[in-house]
Amino acid sequence: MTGTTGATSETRTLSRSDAEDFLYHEAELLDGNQLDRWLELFTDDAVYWVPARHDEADPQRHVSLIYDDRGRIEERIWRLSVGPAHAQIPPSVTRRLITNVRVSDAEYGAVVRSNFAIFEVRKGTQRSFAGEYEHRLVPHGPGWRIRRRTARLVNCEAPIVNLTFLV
Amino acid sequence: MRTTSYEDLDHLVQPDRVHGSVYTDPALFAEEMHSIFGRTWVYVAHESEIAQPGDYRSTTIGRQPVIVTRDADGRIHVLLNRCRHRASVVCRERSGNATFFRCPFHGWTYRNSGELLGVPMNRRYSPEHLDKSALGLTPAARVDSYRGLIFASLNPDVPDLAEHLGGARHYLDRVFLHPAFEKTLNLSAGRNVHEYPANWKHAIEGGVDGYHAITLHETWFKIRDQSPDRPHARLGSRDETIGYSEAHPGGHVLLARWPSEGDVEEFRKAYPEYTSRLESEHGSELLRDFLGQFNVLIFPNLHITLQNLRVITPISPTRTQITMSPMLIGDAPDDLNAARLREFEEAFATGSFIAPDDSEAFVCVQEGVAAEVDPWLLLSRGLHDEERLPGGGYRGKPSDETPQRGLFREWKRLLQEGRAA
Repeated sequence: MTGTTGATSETRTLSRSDAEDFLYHEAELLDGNQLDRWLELFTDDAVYWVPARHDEADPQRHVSLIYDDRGRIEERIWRLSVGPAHAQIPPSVTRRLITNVRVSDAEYGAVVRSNFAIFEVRKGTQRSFAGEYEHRLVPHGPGWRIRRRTARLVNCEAPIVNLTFLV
Repeated sequence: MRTTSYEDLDHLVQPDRVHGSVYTDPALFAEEMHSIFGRTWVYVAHESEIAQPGDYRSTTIGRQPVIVTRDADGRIHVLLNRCRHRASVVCRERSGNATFFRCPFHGWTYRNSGELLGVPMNRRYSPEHLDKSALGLTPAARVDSYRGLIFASLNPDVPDLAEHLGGARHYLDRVFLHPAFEKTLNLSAGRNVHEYPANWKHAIEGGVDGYHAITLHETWFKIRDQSPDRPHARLGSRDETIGYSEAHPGGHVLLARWPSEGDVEEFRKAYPEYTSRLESEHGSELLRDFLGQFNVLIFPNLHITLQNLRVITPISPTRTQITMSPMLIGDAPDDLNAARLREFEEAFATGSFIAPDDSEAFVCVQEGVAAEVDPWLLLSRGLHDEERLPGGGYRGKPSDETPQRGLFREWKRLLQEGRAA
């Protein structure tokens, strides 16, 4: 499946309250396992990135925990929903909190930074992951699309068990 | 009540099967730390990680913390990371550059080559209790490098490193540490550190298991077949005729699969200048090896797979870390190195499509061995049809359990040797 970018040259500002609505909606899709609808939030040239280091991470020179282009996001969703993705049998149950939302304008749209805490339970064990999201959003029709979604985990340099749920 | 005696290693490890307690028994784990990690060569670092004088990198030999340093004269040292006074670690960073290590507890200070330099308020020691020349950081008994790979042994009575690597050297030389790459390979891209709640031996067995991928990694094959134009890790086809598995003395085992001529041609087209330089300088066989799938396990803890370097670190009988780093080639085109990163993230990252499923399988085995009524794990695949190699090794089909049998032969040999010592 492919989405459309619908990116236009129009410049619009994004209020913090609209940014929060966008993030809460996205979180609801992720925690509710509505991954096809989550995919619709992305542009065709989107990147989903989870760096493996705190400072000066450059995905062209440094390896990441996740660095998906649109095609690999689609493959990831296919694995999770059709699979079998064995590390997600049984699947993780997640619930995420999003706070400290900050919006700044960018040439192409808006940059939204927020803090997150994700509680994840699988096979009877609960774990928590925290970090900062950075969503680079571009205008799309009356709404917005994600061109670059970065999740900076506070434990990105620490040993990690099974990062196959969606951060 | 024990149903078997762990005293009897010949019972636990048989030619065609192993007993489940090798993955669970805390006493056997303690023996492994002593008789394997404490008595053979263990990989500690790559020279590119400590390229400059003063560079250091802390790591472990088994459970024992060590610092790998390069001193002012460029010499490499492997030092136990333990103050000679009251045992605190003296280095708490993973890596850096330092002339000295100062113990955080009472301030004893050591040169990066190990000598004890200073002791605060030293007048309350009598000279006989403070012989500084005898109180340096304890060095590993043996340190040596092979083409950039630094190994150390806590046991002085090990054979020379090159001899120890034996039959595996051929694959290191030919594929990973070929002269075309040896000087420029580096770990500058960083790493992913995986942890899984199961025994460390699952990882060394799994990394050279040519039988599991078509089942456990079925989705990866589907994804690759659906999008051949996208960058994918280079897992070889499941054709049993394109390669083999081997077990060499010393427990070094491997899986080798070569690519098709079409794969090589495609690579030539993608990187014409680089490949024509490689081929004119090093011959046309090099690309075939470079694009092959080689999983080489240097017993007990170094795993080089598809040009990625993995270090397996046992934490407890049921906890293990795997540090995986892509090896970049310093003089290769940027887009080739970037493609290698994308291949790594597809297959080996903590959020990837392959390695987390491997870890899941290791955990499934760990859960399964709790069912002890039938305690055996079968390693008999291909046993009837193994080829004997000159030098004492064995060769089987890619999907045979030749590597797993080789690992356990060495495991048993070292534990027996440790008991006899």
